[in-house]
Amino acid sequence: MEPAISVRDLTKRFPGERPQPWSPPRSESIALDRVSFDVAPGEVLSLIGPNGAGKTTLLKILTTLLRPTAGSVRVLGHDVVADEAWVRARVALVTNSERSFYYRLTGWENLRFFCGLYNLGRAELAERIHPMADDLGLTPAVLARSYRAYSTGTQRKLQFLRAFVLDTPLLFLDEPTSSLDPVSSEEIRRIVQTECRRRRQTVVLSANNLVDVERLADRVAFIHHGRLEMIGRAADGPGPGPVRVTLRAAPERVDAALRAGRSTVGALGEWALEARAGLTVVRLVAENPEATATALLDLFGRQHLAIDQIDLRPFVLEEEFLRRVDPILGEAEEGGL
Amino acid sequence: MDADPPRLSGIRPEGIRSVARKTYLFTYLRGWKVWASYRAQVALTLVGWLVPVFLYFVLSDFLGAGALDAASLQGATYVAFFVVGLAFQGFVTNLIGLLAQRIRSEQMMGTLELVFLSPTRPGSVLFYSSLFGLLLNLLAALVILVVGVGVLGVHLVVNAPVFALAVVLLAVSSSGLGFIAAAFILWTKQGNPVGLFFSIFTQFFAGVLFPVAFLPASIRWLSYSIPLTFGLEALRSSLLAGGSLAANGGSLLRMVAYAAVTIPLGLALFHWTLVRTKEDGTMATY
Repeated sequence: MEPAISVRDLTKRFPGERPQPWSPPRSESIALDRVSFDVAPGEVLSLIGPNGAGKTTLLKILTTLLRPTAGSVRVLGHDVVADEAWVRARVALVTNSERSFYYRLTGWENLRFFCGLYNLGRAELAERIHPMADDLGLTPAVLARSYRAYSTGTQRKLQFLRAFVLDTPLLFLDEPTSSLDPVSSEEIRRIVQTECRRRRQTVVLSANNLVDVERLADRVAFIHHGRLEMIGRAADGPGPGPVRVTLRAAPERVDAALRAGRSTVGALGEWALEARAGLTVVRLVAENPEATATALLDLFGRQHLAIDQIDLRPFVLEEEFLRRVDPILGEAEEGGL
Repeated sequence: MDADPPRLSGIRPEGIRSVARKTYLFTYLRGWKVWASYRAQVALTLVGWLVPVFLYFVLSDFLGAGALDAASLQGATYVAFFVVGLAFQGFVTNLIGLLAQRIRSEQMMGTLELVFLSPTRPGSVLFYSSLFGLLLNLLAALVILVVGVGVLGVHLVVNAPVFALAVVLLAVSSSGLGFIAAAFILWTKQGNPVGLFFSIFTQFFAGVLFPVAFLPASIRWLSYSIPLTFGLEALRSSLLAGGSLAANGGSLLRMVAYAAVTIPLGLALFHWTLVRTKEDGTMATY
């Protein structure tokens, strides 16, 4: 099957500041360095990496807003430079900026304008926004208000609505849940998980919120200093995995509880403890993370130790992220295990 | 992974309905509604249209311009001469300036990338964006002409078809300059020097306030480097003396020739600049 996106040896260099618009640039910086990967139709790929790694640059090249310096980028088999207009009709982008609407128009008027650029008429737009608009809290009354009166979160939601109603084969999301409260973030994730999957949209998202990555992505691409350092599956499904339990108790009490319960919990293996601001974090790798977490809940409950949080998967990415971005911090995290 | 091809329901062909829709979206929603929401700007713009008309009316009496030879004024009175000049000078300079200003404000609002991300082609975006400036300045021209006729006693003898053709050709030939100005702003991201230049340049050289024949012969050729000069000749003739198509053929053809050169040039320059901003990553920079 032909990939929805095919990137080969993509390099992007930005010219440095020009003293005058017509002057040659003083220097040059590399934003992307020989990046290659494919995205299958209907797949959700997440780009992660520290700020300035090149994630947004990559999204902008994939959506034709930037031109590559070298290499090739094909979207649905079409080159993003040679067939730019063809590609533009098939992509939608949610930027990480709220500066993407007209402040003096209402939310509805903004939707009409931008969707009209895709030849989407009033009646069809009104039909398509339901029930998604209501789910996002963008009721007719909210959409009738001026955009300048919107909170940052509402502005972000309107961006989502604009991108989703276009129903393009490819959707690009830059920091999809930034500026959103937990409920709204969850709603956005639900839409990507259900609606985009139902539509078989190919989604590429850039995220600093690793919960988004864990929840949404089929695969994760880690970008650092413009290089694609790793690309792989986001979750490995059933099988061995990490468990992290945070308790409101001293490390000694937690350690004693674990030793006492070693026989009852079963294949507990080795664990590591870390004290953090009055909390104790237990880290271990279990054959069956869900069953182990349930057993630990029972064990600590019987020992009257207050559990603050249980994480099964998200910290894997977080620690992988830290290990790759900051070797010293990463080693410290690994040492803790 | 699902093997079915992705849905393509977001892609729509262009047609007459989409042209009508985009005309509405660009002129009414993004043009008029945004412009009219700045009420002080609306009031000041109206005043700005009319103040020069009364200013030159008073000055013409004071400086004795009213005694100018009618032959040098295309057979009109001086008041009629400058009323038509002012009505359509703004028409051209604002048509050029508003388009460049639109690109600039889209850069600052961050909407430029989203507009150029859409399947609507950049050339079409420029065309639709020009329409609001065109309509606004048609309104300005109408207001000035109504004041000229109703208050200052200008007498019109109109050849409507020739007048309409002259207006259309003036708009078309000026829009090429507007595209060049838009490219300039996209590239330099600095104010609107092109609009300012044209405002001053046209007032002096295009025969807006005094006949081109009054300019020294050595610089008179500059007047014929801008379409407004030909446009005003045809407009005055068709509005004030009922001039025929044959009488204005030369001016009208020159505007066609001007458009044939400046529109492709403006579109090519804008395309080149847009590509450059995509290479430099400066499309949304301001």
